[in-house]
Amino acid sequence: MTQFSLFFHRLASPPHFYELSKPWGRAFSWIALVLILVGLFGGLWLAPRDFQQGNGFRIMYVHVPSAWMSLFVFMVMAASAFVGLVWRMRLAYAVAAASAPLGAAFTAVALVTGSLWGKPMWGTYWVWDARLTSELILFFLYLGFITLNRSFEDQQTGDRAAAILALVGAVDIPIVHYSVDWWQTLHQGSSFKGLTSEIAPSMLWPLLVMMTGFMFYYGWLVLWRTRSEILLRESDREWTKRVVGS
Amino acid sequence: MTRRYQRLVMVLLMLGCVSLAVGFALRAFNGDLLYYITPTQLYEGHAPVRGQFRLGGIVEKGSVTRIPGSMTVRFTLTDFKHTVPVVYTGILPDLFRVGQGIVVRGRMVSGIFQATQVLAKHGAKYMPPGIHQPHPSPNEEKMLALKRDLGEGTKP
Amino acid sequence: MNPWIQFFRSEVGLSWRERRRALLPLVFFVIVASLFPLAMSPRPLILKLIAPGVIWVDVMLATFLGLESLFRQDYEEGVLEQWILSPSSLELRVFLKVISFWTVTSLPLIVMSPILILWLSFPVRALGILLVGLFLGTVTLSFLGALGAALTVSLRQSGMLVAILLLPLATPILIFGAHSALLAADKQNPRPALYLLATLFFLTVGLVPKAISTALKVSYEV
Repeated sequence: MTQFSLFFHRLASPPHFYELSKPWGRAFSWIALVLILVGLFGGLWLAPRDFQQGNGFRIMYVHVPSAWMSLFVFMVMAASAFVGLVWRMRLAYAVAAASAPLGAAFTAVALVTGSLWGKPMWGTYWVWDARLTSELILFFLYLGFITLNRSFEDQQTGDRAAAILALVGAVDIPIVHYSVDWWQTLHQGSSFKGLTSEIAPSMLWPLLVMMTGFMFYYGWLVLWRTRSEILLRESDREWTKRVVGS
Repeated sequence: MTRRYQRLVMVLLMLGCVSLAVGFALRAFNGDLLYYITPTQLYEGHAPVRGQFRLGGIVEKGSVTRIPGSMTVRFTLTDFKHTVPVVYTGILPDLFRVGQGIVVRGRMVSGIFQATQVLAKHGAKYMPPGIHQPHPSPNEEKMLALKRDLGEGTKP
Repeated sequence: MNPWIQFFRSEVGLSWRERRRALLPLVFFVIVASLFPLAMSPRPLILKLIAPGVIWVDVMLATFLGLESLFRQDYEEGVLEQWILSPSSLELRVFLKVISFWTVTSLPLIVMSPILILWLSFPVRALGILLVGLFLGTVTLSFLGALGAALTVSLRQSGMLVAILLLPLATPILIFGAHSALLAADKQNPRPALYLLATLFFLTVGLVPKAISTALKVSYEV
């Protein structure tokens, strides 16, 4: 076995993960804090006004990272669900369960900030175009996942049932992402085409910093929440009693 | 029927269904399932004669007139092939200006579009005010902007 | 006789023996549709606009309400366990089970819908498109509903939960289905919307039986 796969096998063992996640989570939290503060300062003070939207465009620095995270977290959930169902890895289920409320929160923030942005710029809080509708459906899918996961007496049944839902619901992800290309929507197209962007560099860097910051923020919270999900799932094990008792 | 044979048939059936689905999806996107239609599509008869629908286009230069003492605005929407006169009474969004992509909702009444709602579409471009002038005159650049604003590649 | 045909016939027969329960969705369907003219306004102009939406929402709710207990009895009596243990394909069994449910429950809804069209002052020229859409849509909804039923088969009180799980997944069907009927009523081209319904139909028919089988197995493995 190579060093690399050995690393992953050890990571998949809940007690090992529990130990490892503590320093990692702490590191992630500091990185996230620094990046988000820098990104906010860059976005709200350093970046120039937009030629069309004036200062109003600055809500982008929260809206775009949240919307991006709402898709990313669901992909993480679907991937962990797949790993859980195929390789029966308990840790994967814990990650999926820990991710769902975070993803739902990111989706809610994206929807709310989008609405607040839409009122002055478009002239309305809400339209039923393909992008907004599919993002709303994504929010409902998160709620469905959370509810299903917690509905069974046996947590393992809940995990597996919710995993199937996550895999089926993953069809919504490409729909959200490509909706602005497939349909003529009120929502503008993506500002990123491959590696190039239609955003001026002076406005782009705070956005990229914010996006990275949000990734680390999610990384921190998901590690932290996965720890408690593991404790919940392994509550009758020796090592859990040792960890909690000490 | 052996088990293996059965599995093979099952996988083939699944693949068949998925490829049929993809085929229908491709055909659907060749059609016009849209949030709004463009003036050209309107002239080609893609809009209901009486019902409400949404029309998207660029506000034509020099076409915006306000009727004094009222909230009524007249302007024409264009996609540089066809133009449609629009009349609207109410509050316009911040981004409403000449050269801006707009989506209006309403109905055609004797050749004039009576809008009940005006929504501004903004592009995916963000830049400081100095670099870019809001209304560059060359038509070509406008066409590009329009294509970007109206979502390229969705027309039949 | 082919054992699969036999299985299908016995499934239909079983539902038909309990036809009073199988017909409940139909009664529900008709009553709900009659509420809208009473609650909103019986003016033909308004009714015409909302008719496709009303019929589609109504069909969706009726299908899901009927499906909620699709596997319940089989689960409680242990038949499901036999299916899982049997060497023949669980996917095919699930497929036939859902189709037999559709024949007994959804087909009557489609047959009844022309009458509702008259109630809701919907133009008769759109009837063909509505029926094609309803055929594609109800089959798709039946498979999605069966997935919801399979995921919650071991739960006692699952009605609301199934609805929360399925309604978001079912919204695209609702959007394109109602849209196609409205377009047809407006003398516009409804085909793109129908193609998208067909896309969902084939995706669901092809892949969801597998998901349902996995979900059923989940409720037995501990």
